[in-house]
Amino acid sequence: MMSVLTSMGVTPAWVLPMLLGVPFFGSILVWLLPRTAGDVEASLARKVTIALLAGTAVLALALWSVVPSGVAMIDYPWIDDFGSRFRLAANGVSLPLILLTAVLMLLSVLAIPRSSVTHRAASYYALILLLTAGILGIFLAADLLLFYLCWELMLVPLYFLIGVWGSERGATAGKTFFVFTMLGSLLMLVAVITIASAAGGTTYEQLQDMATNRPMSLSTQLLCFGAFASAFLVKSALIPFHTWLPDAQSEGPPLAAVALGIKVGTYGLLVLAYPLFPAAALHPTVRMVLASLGVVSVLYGSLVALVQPDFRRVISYASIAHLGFVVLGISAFTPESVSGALVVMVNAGITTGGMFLLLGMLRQRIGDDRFQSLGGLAKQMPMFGTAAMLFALANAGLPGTNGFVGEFLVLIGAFPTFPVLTLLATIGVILAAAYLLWAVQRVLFGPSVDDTAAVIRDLSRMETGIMCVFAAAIIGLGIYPAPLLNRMQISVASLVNGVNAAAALVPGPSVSDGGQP
Amino acid sequence: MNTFATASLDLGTLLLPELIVSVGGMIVLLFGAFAPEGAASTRRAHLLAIVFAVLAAGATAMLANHAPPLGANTGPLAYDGFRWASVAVIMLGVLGTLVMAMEYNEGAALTASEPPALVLFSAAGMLLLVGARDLMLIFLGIEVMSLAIYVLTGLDRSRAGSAEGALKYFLLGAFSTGFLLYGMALLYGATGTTNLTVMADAIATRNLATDPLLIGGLALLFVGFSFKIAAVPFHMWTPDVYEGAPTPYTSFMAAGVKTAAFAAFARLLMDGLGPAYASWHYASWVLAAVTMVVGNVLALAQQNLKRMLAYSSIAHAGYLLVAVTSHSADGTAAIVFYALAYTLATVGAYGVLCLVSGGIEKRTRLTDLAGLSRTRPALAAAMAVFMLSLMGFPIAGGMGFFAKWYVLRAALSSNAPQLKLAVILVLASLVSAGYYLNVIATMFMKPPAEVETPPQLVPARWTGGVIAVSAVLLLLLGVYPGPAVHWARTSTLPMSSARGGSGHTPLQALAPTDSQPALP
Repeated sequence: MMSVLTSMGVTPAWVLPMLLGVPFFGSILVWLLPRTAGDVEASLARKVTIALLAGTAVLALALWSVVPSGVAMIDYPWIDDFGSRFRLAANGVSLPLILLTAVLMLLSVLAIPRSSVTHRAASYYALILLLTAGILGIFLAADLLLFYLCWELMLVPLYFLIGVWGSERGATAGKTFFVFTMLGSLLMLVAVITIASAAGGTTYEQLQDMATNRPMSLSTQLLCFGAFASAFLVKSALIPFHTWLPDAQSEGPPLAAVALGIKVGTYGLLVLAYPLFPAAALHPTVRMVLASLGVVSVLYGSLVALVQPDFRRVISYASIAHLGFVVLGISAFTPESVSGALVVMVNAGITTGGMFLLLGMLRQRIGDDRFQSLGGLAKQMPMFGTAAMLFALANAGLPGTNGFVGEFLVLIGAFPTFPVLTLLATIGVILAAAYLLWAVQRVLFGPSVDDTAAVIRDLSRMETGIMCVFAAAIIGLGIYPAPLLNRMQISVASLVNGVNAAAALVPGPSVSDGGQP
Repeated sequence: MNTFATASLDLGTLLLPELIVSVGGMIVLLFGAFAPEGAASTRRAHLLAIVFAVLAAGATAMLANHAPPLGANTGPLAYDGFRWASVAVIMLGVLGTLVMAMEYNEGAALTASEPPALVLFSAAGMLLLVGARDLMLIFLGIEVMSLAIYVLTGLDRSRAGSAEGALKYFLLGAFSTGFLLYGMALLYGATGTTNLTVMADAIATRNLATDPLLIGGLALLFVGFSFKIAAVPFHMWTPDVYEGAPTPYTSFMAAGVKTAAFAAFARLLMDGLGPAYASWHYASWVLAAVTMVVGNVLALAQQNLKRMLAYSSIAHAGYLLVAVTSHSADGTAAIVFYALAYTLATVGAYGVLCLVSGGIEKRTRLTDLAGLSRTRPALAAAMAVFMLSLMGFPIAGGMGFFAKWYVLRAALSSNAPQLKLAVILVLASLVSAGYYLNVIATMFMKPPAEVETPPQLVPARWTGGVIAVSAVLLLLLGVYPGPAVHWARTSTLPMSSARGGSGHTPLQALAPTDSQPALP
């Protein structure tokens, strides 16, 4: 496969910039589309957007196929005076997330019914493309300044999508989301500039070089790590920084909720905060705090999910619980636990993304997804019922679904380091089964509520197709996760070893043992 | 052309931009005296003024390309990159103001040919101010600049607010000039000179950094300049004057006056008073912190857009003061770069206000923007860019982000890193998100308000052009800021401490850092 594509001229040298360029310039193109009567504009903008996102997904697939297990990189001059370069790269850590993002965004746009966006459609689709470019940029960037730009770029389209095309309370939810995440990002900005000044540039290579060869003192590292972590943990909505997420996910359009489910925050934590500040990241206190926050997220998120009035909020809190597993895996920092964390990141994107799209389809039909007004849907909408059941099981981590693989790896990997915390996190798996099955039971199997007695259309052919893709990914990765794990293996191993080695260089309390607190 | 590169830099050549602008102002005045009264003559007077502004900008570019490199001059007039860069930014603001005023004055029935002449006279003062390396010239520049601005503020005699603003600005301005003059007198008393080079040498060789006379002079200078740059607690006049002045001249005040006063302040502090850094560092530190916090917090409460932008410009003075506090060549580059981004965003934002208020000053409340994205989508998009740029947001806010980046970089990488100040800066800009986002939310997420008489939108192609150019430049420089960064980096101020003197105390030893308590 790889050699065929390579012989056809598919090389990372142009796939990497295209992957960022197609959605970015595509968004400008779509915004400039002729503004005509609502329906014509919406249909044209939708078609162009789907074509561009399909192209992006194909590029992501091509990249997955042609990048060998190592790293692919392109490098152009950008801002010489700041030592910043336009540098994009992909490796085993970022590739799965790049592919996930490209496919998820395409499916989300396909799931938007033709009739639902009637006003300012061109702007709507342009913002979706810009959002895609921002998320892909986060995973592709190999320069800290470029990363920061993409990191912040994500905010604006999401703010508008939630505020303008969300519910009546969308404007407030959007603003809360914007201000919360900006607080973390701005603190990170101070740390970014600090290390960029110290390293004399902003490429990952230069920063990595400084971290390994001229490490900063432990106290500086701790401060900078704290600033980076504040940005990443707020964005990934770890408890106690989570309050914005359920509002943003339930007031915005389904697509915004899907995009918020892509775990950019923990990706940043893993590939930036850990390698750049190894001594701080592996400091026993820091690890303990992070792991505890992770477990608290698992347990508290699950408990809160039990009492939510509507399905979307249940899924929001379920994704917070998933995030807890990711953070637990990262803070344990063994090759298994980090691989597990990455797998959970990918799977959470798939299962919560699929669930949010499915709930969006339900809202399109009923306009309400509070439990009190739903019930007995399995009879009227068998296809919907099947999909919801599958997603719930995957979310709960049933063996045979993708949800199981990641959480299992995390728990195994983290157990030697944090035995008590890991055991506590296991309770979360049981809780997840409880809240999800209870939610599904109330919606699908209970007695029909009067309001919903009218005939409700089951999923359309297009919607069924979208759900089949999700189902294939869930079952496929659950039974045969090897392609994903193999792809990650080398990159994860070198990441873990590199950080451990670099941490040992900095004199500080008990970091020399490489991990055991 | 190479004659400039030789030593034959006579005063006439060095003052070419100032001369062009002043003579242009007089010609416009004469034109006004002989042309028939009416809208057509007003337009012609403005066009004439625009021509002279372009000529002056061209002369500046020529001088910047051919003048000798940095660091050599000791005379009363600077010819370093910092001067040319500041002049370029100011001329950008002047051009934007003249273009907007041309159409605004027609809409507001302010048919007279004097306003463009006054803008040019004020610009002459600004250019003189940023080139001055002598206390006398600095004073002269400030006065020439301010007098014209007082008149421009009170131009609209049909509105009481305009007259109120002019009177407030004039009285307080005159008062602050007193402080400035007295401060200069004390500095002269302490060092025995008005020339910045001689002053720096005197301070360094005779260890005058803690001389009571010098400290007193510094304190009074800070008061005087703080008034001009609208730093807290000398900012009280700003909202009233900004609200009262006709909108194009508000943008002139916000962009031009601020850039000119900051450039002069930075030159005075870093060039002339650089060796006394330890004496003024605390003052500018506290001034920066208080200005950022108070400006942003008060802006949150504003319902009138012009008042909101006034408080926002106070906050921006605070950000620029951070660059001054860092006292480094990087800091002066940051001032130039920031001034460019700020000028583009401010002129653009006031341009949008000009159009929305429809030539009259009645529709400048925040609620008047409601639903703008449905009635004027392009205008709303441009305003969103300006707001995000002022907020310092990347990509969508364009160059504004790199301006903040540059200031933070200067603060964090100087000899005395200002970590606390940097943290205050980012927290203050988080607060600013509150009101900038409010503008965006009002435009995009609220339905248009029902007005009994929809405003008469004057055809304003040129103002629209200014807005479009500002927005596009901001966005382009936000993706590829390389050239602007390079331009700013080659436009730094020669640091007096770097020039050396026998009795210099090394800067590092004098400079307070954050490891010591930075607040008194």
